[in-house]
Amino acid sequence: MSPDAHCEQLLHRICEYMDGELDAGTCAELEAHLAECEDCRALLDSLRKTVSLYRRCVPDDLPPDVRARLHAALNLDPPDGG
Amino acid sequence: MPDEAALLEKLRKGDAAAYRELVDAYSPRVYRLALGMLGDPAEAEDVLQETFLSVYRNIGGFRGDSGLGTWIYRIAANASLMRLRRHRDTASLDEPMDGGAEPKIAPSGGVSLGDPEEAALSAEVRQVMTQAISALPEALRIVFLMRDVEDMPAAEVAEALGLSVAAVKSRLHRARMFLRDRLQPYLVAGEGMT
Repeated sequence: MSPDAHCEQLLHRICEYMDGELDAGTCAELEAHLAECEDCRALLDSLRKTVSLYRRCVPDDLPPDVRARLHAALNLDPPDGG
Repeated sequence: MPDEAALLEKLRKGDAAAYRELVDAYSPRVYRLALGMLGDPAEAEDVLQETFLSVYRNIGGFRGDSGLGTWIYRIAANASLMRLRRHRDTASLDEPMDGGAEPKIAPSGGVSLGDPEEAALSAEVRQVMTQAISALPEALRIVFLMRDVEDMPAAEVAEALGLSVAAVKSRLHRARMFLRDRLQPYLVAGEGMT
């Protein structure tokens, strides 16, 4: 199998590799390929960076004003006694 | 949730404190999902409120076949997709549409994100990322948001969206490649990067 064909074949498994979902045999095969193929290593690296960037781009918490309006809409806050 | 069965029992009895606990536990994730899908904070807030109103109204009929979180995500996903369909009448969970016109933002050349964990996200990069995810076909976008942003297991995403696990994996792969291609100018490219 030519290197390019091997890249093409393994490309479809690279996300499963990222997610730790490959069986041991396929994982070993892909890692052996990655050790030799700079293009595939770069692809994997760029995919990981992409996911990491998107994770950093989203808010961890609900904005306080959104939370306050949600609680009001759902009548979740106890009546203000004071 | 630490003890979902106990929480569910309280919810079915109309326990207000349990409902508040549920809302506080899941509302950030529901909001992120809706914001990612719709790209509009006001609309995401509407979906957030619709979702928990629906949860409140329908908790009595929730049989527990899926996890509570999966059920809530399904409601939020459907509410988001319904809004998108009303806007454009093109979204479908079953048949991903090709992306429309792609956003064009020329990289400034001054932004390098070789180490995303270290780099501060510039407004430019945030804009590129927001536009890229908006350009992602909706059926792929929701899988990406659930799987990669909310870190849901593939099986749970599949259950929430009524898809096979294989379909989730396929869509996730396409979503990551799509986003990576659009973010590529902002990543430090290794030699021979394809």
